[in-house]
Amino acid sequence: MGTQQPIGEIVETTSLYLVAQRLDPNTEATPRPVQPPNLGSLVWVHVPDGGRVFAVVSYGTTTGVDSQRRAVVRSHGEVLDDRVYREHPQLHRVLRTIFHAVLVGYETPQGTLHRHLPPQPPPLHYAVYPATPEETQRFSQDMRYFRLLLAVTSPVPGEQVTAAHVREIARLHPGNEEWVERAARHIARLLKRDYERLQAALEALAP
Amino acid sequence: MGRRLGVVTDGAFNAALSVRLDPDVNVEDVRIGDFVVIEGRDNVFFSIVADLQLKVTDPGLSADPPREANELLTRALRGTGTYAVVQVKPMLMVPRPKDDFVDPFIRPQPVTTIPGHFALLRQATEQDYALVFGQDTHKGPLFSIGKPLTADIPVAIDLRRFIERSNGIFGQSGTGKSFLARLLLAGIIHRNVGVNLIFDMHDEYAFGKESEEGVWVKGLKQLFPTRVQIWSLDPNKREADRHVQVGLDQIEPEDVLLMAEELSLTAKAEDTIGLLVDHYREQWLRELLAMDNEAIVQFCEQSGAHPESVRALRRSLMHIRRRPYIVPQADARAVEEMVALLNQGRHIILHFPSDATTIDHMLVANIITRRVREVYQRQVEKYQETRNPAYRPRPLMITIEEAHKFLNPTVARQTIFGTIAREMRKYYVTLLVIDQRPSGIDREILSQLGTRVTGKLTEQADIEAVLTGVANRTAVRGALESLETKKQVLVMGHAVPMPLLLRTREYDEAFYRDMQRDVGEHEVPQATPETAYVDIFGEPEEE
Repeated sequence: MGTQQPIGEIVETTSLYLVAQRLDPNTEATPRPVQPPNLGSLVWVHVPDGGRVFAVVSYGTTTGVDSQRRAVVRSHGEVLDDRVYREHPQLHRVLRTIFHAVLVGYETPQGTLHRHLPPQPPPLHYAVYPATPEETQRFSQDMRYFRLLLAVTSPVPGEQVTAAHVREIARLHPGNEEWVERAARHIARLLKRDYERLQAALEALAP
Repeated sequence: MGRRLGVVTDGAFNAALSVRLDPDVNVEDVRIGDFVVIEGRDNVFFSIVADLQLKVTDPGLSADPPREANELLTRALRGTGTYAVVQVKPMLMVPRPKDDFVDPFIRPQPVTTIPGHFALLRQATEQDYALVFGQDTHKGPLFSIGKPLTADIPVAIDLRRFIERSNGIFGQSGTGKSFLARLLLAGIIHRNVGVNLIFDMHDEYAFGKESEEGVWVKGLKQLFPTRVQIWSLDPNKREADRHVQVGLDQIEPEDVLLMAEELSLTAKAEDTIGLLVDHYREQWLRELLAMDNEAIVQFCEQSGAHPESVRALRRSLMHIRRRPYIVPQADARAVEEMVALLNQGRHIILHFPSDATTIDHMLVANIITRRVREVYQRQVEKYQETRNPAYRPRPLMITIEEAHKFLNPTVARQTIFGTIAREMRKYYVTLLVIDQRPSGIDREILSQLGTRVTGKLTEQADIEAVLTGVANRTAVRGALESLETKKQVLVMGHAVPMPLLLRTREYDEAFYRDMQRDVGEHEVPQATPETAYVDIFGEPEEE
């Protein structure tokens, strides 16, 4: 945990979700596009009392720094895709990558996990860290927080965020079909009155 | 503790309780008619499965079910969006034992309440069966007649209660009625709870017989050689202990009139017989059959009868005269002898020749039964007068097949069988009626039947008939309709605390061994609170 690098800094915070700007991972040698963390991945933030708040990435976007203006086209001739970034190493200074993450739980300083909304929103300007595969696995053992994920309304629908989250965990822990099955049943239970959304979620889970 | 099946979610005392099955319980593991247990807070409810239903939480699911390809969706929906509900009818309850103290005298009582929400439903265990139905200890009146469909636990019926009332064995042909009857009759003989008079009209009970599976099975005479007596109407039957004859003087006008259809009697026959009886008393039939033309004319002049009617009647009744067992005057003591044997605890099978017709069955069964009951009635009256236990007759059960011939609505009011079925065990005589068309039996008689054991019936009218006078009919109807053609029966009524679906006990070598062990070593029935009550206060009033 101590050695992990932060991936973002909180630029807007609420009781339900946080908005963070992606920190530039680029070293000088090879400039690459700056991307938000995977949809559905688990991230966390230190909080002042010594605990951590957990959140699931629910949305990502990259725009120009001036959000009023669209980015300018840079491709020409053979210069396409990441070559654009190599030709314009200054790009990451004029582009901004933002991601949203839904708050799904917190860990007390004593290490107890709670899978409901934290008492306080995470503080502004605090750093956002990606959860390790082990942390993700530990957090996802109890799926009660799926209800919070399914409640997300915008911009990505909750069932898609939830499915993405399950896919992400399945990717981190290959061969964990039993967990995926359990997750699918849990989603089915939560969406028992909404077959349309359930279908959407589980279709997005099918391999 | 039996396997957990689900929890109560809904219901009504007057209907049934809805139990939502747990997601991991396959609905196909639960059968209609299963004996199941609901764990209430203060009581344990013994119940039967009355119906099974499939439900969805969102109507969209029924309109657009998941395609086969999406297996994950199908699996995820099982027990979440799609689930099964079991309709369960509580029948009996016992207070839940407190502090692990199980009161040995506590017996299940009819339900007077229902368990609350989320009470647990589970499969019944051997202890549950034992608590409700008791256990066959190889002595005493509890006699195992089969096992539930989903468990390997012998279930007993109380034979002493069984013979307290008239009973019925029903089922369409091929469902094993006669095997079931043998089973029960063997039980009654083995446990010595009463005596049997069996009208063996199709040669089913006395001797060995080939079963439908092609196996030879033993008859009651072979199982209990000294305790069963064969009386035969067939003078050539060598295995018989005694040959029976019927005297013309024993045939009463009612015996003949009951068979009006079979004998094609005219509408005037009753009047003509009346005149004959006025004139000749009990010799009326003998005299009639002996008349020649001249005698008929003479009789008509004296009595005012119509010669043509007399001739027609005589022609019809000549059928009877030609039967091989009919003699002008029979030994009147035969019936007394029969009753004496019954009093000694012997069981009598009345064997009919293989070419016997309905006329023979009805004539003989009526005449013998009427006389036996007369003797029994005298005995009972003597017993009641003297209160001397030595005069107390043994309970007698009379078995008749094709019972609708004796108990159909037109004749049930007149035959002795109708009388016996209606008066219950007042004179210590009850019936075991065996029939494949219970709808042909008079409704009033059906409603008087104590215990019904029924195999598969397909005709709706027959199903209705079997359920006549049964409490909780809607709950048991499903079980009755679900019976398989062979070796499955629904037992309900007086001899069992609650209805139950059973696979019938095998009538095989193991059964023979059981039956030949400790024959008649009948334990004196232990006093239970009920029998003690009955001994002191008499039988409680029927509802």
